Parts: sequence; structure tokens; C-alpha cells
Amino acid sequence: MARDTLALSALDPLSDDALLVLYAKGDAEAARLLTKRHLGRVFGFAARLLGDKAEAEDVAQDAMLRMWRVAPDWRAGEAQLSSWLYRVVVNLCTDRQRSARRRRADALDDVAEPADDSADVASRMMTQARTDALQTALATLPDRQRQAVVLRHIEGLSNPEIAAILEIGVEAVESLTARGKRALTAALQSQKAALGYDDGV
Amino acid sequence: MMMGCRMMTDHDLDSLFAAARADSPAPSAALTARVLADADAAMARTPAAKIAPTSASGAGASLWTRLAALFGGAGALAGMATATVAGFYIGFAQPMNNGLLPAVLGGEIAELEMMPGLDALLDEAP
Repeated sequence: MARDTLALSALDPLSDDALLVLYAKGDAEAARLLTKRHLGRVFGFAARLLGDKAEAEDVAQDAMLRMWRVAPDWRAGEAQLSSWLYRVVVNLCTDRQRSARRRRADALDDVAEPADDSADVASRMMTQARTDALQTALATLPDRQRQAVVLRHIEGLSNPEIAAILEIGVEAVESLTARGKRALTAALQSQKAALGYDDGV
Repeated sequence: MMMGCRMMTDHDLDSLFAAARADSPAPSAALTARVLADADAAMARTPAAKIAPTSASGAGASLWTRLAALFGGAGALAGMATATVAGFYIGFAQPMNNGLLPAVLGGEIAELEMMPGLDALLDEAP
């Protein structure tokens, strides 16, 4: 079980920077602790951005692999490891989504557009949890809006932290999250009764 | 089809975000195992890991041993401790008046004032 593999360690009090140094010096327990601290967040974030757990697993594994490789050259105090990992995940997800869009564009001529899938989506939403509805709505956002909204409202990061991760200004982050929330509200509006936000609630 | 008149509010959206935070997807045991296998493989390719003392990285190694490894081993840590103690002593020890300084400078010094006295300032008052 993963929980057994990642049990409490004597290294728990150490910082991420110190653990990376220990890992680079050959300490396997440091690797286990870094995995325990960061894999869940990395995987969860990738799953929110991609909306696909299998793809999110690939991205999470790739991001963690980059962390192992950068460990010998990691410069302590220059960046937070969690922020660095968020940035890696954003870049990996963006690459995957671009590739997926290119593949869809190539195949567009061969696949007929569904006549009206809103009824199907609405009926499915009747039986889905609120988190699934939110995930579906998130998938309709442009990449940058989705990244900013997830980092701000699900991962709980501050606007300056998000600005550093996305490599944009704080004002741009505010604009992205505001537009993202408006778009989410619009996307979820037709399902609000199913989500328990009907009149008088 | 409209299902009511009330628009979704920021509060509604915030409650959805809260539900999403509470229901964060967890990595599977298989993914965790793959990540740890990657860590082992990448470690084996790191030159520093090949020359690192295995006693500092074994499962039974103490936190102290690992901290020593952070600074280049117990020897380096002992050197740092010695330097710290020496610096502390030099900072607090009184300078000895053993006549060595005048001898080096080639003359006798009757009075050595390390800090200007208050008298000098008072004398200059208009």
C-alpha cells in the first residue's frame, strides 16, 4: 500500500531543499518523503487541468521524474519546490492539450459533431456529484483561465504565487480568474437545480 | 431549459470549489510505486549518489548522520563546529598586553585608544 510505503520518517522536520540535497547524495528515504509531500498535490492538480486520471498520472510521474533529475543542481532558497512543480505540471499539461487539439483538428472531418449533447450532459449531471459538474465546467475554460482558477480557488495559492508559476503579472492573474469564474457561472447556470442551487436555497 | 430564475452566485461557486478541495483525487499505489522506482533509477545515475557514503543513507541511519551528510560528512561538520567555537572565543577574549605589538611596530606605545573618548567631543564645544 502507498500509505505503508510513505510512513512517518525521522526526516519529516527537514525542508524540501534539505531533502533534495539528501536525495542527490543517495538517500532513498528522502525520495520517499518528497513523494509523500508532493505527489498528491501534483497528481490532483494535473487531474483538474486535464480532466483525465490516466493522463494526469502520466503527467504527475513525468513532473516527479524532472524533480529527481534536477535535485543535484537544485539551488536552495531560490524557489519553492511546490511552486516549481506547479509550473512543470502547467507546462506538461499545456503541451498535452495542444497535441490533443491538433489530433482533434486532424480528425475533425471524419467525425460528425453530436446533434445536441447538452441534453445528454444535463441528464448525466442529474446523477453526478458537484465536483464532477465543476470538473466538466472547468474543461470548457481556455487553458490559462483553467490553470489560474484551479490554482487560486482549488489549490488555494495567492495571486503573486500564481503569477510566478504562470510567468505573468498579478493583474493578468486577477483578470484570468475573474473571467474564469464568470465563464464557470455561465456554464453551471443551466445545471444549478441539479447541483442544489435552486430558487430559495 | 431554464430550471429557475435565480442566477448562480459567487457563494454557490465557492461552495463548489470547497467541495472540489475536499474531494481531491489521490494518487494510486501503482503511481506511487512508479514514482519511487523512477527516483531509485535517477539516483543511480547521479554521480554524487555513487560516491555518497551508504551509511548516511541506509534505512537505519539517524537524523544526525543524515544532517552530517548534508554538509559533506561528519568530518566537515566537526570542522565547522571547531571554527564556530574558535570564532566565538576570538570575539570574546581580551587582547593580551604582552609587548608583542610594540615590538612588531618597532616602537613603544604609551597609550592605545581603541575608541575616541567623550572628552574630545566636549573640548570642541563652542
